[in-house]
Amino acid sequence: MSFTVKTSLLENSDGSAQLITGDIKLIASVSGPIEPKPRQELPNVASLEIVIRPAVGLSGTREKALEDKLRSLLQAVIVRYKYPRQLIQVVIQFLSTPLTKYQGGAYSNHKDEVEYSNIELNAAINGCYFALVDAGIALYSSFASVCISLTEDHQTIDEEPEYIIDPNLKQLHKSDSHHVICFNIEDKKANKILLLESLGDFTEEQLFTVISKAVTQCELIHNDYQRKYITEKIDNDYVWKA
Amino acid sequence: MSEIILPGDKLPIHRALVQEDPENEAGSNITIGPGLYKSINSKQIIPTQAGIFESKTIKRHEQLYYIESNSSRYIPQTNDYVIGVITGVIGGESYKVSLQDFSNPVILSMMAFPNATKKNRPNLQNGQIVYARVSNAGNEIETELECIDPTTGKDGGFGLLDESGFLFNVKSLNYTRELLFNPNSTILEKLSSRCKFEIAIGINGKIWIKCGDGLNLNKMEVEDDNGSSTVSNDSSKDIKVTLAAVKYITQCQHSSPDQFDNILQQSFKDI
Repeated sequence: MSFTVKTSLLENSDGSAQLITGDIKLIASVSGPIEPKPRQELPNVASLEIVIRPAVGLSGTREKALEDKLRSLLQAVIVRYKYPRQLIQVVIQFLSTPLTKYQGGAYSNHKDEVEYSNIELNAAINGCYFALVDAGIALYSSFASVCISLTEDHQTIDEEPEYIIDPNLKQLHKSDSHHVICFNIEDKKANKILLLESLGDFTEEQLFTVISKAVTQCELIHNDYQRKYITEKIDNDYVWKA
Repeated sequence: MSEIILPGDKLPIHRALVQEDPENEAGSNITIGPGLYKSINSKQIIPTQAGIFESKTIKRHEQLYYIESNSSRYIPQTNDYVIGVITGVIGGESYKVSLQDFSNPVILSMMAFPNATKKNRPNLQNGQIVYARVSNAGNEIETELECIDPTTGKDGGFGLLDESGFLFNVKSLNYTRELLFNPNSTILEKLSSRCKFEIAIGINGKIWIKCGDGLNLNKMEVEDDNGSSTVSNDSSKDIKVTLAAVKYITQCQHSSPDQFDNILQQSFKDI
């Protein structure tokens, strides 16, 4: 799992981040707390508006499904009681996804569209974290997400399946199932599962192995990447300080 | 003591709390500032923003903790100094004021001006700007401003900022706080070596600046009609100086202190 991040790159939004991981490139932007439309206003907490835009074409049901998954996660990490009657707007714009890279090739059939959406979700979550921190939105804890695929060798039944962290599209095709797991991180340790999306065939035992692998991966993302990029961002925010 | 804290990290204050509690039954008093939040359920103090953790002792047994961080969205707090744009009148009693684009509007009562009475009200138009103090802010109520110094009842520097100055936005709110509150900041000091200016800094990310005699539009028009250009030249020079000062202030927020002289020279090179 590796990615590069650039924060505060959009001039007109309160917080933004560009994340590049594998074949996926996206920009996440956060505006808020701002004045909501009357129908969005909630009396005691902040309302969330999440917009996901695909790299190519218009957003459809797939993006709406992604938005809903992201919303359930963000509702759990944003301190929404701090901003009653206000709106927090999160926009994720994909710049390139595995589909745009392989478009027209052997990978653009209907089956793939279902499959890669989960690695998009993984990238969207990680991008969101940096944009939210950049915007200064109050969070209960940090969070990090990882995608793990598992491939079983059907010839040898007793062998351990192969676990691939952050698989690319080709590896996803060969895999039997893949999982996106997001942990909240308190005091540099993965604490609770915030989101778990699985697709494919797997056993309960395999799922538990995947989760325990995700714990170390999420801690690694937090300690190696999130801390590094945020320290960089804070240094940048205070360049004028003598 | 300063270290970088991320949301969810353990705060260095928990240790201190435990140590001090047995000696002092009431416990030492803790004041938490921006970036920290007391969780309703667990009654724990948690960091909610990423930034530099600061702790200060105000009095004996009284500690102040906060996280120093940058943001672009202004959240009103009581006693903040802000610049607002009048956007409307509510019920003939108060003005609707915008502190930042897309933020909730705030209220400026017509009675919150020096010497204002029911009969003698300020007459402000839409689009005019005021320098004001946040008198009342909280999540559950609408934010209110006032243009009086509460200790003297006089204007105290608050009130209408006239059109001879120039208003511009600064994205980093931490930078406007530095300009307003840090007396050792060299940014404005350096600017004063190049021009005479009057400045109002709102920590909501708006800065009003007037260089020289300001941009007196009326004067320019009159002079143009008479065909004499001396005063008009003066005024257009002031416009140039103002824009150069604006350029200097906005560029300084993205550069280190040793670059300031360079930027100042670059900004003023055509004048």
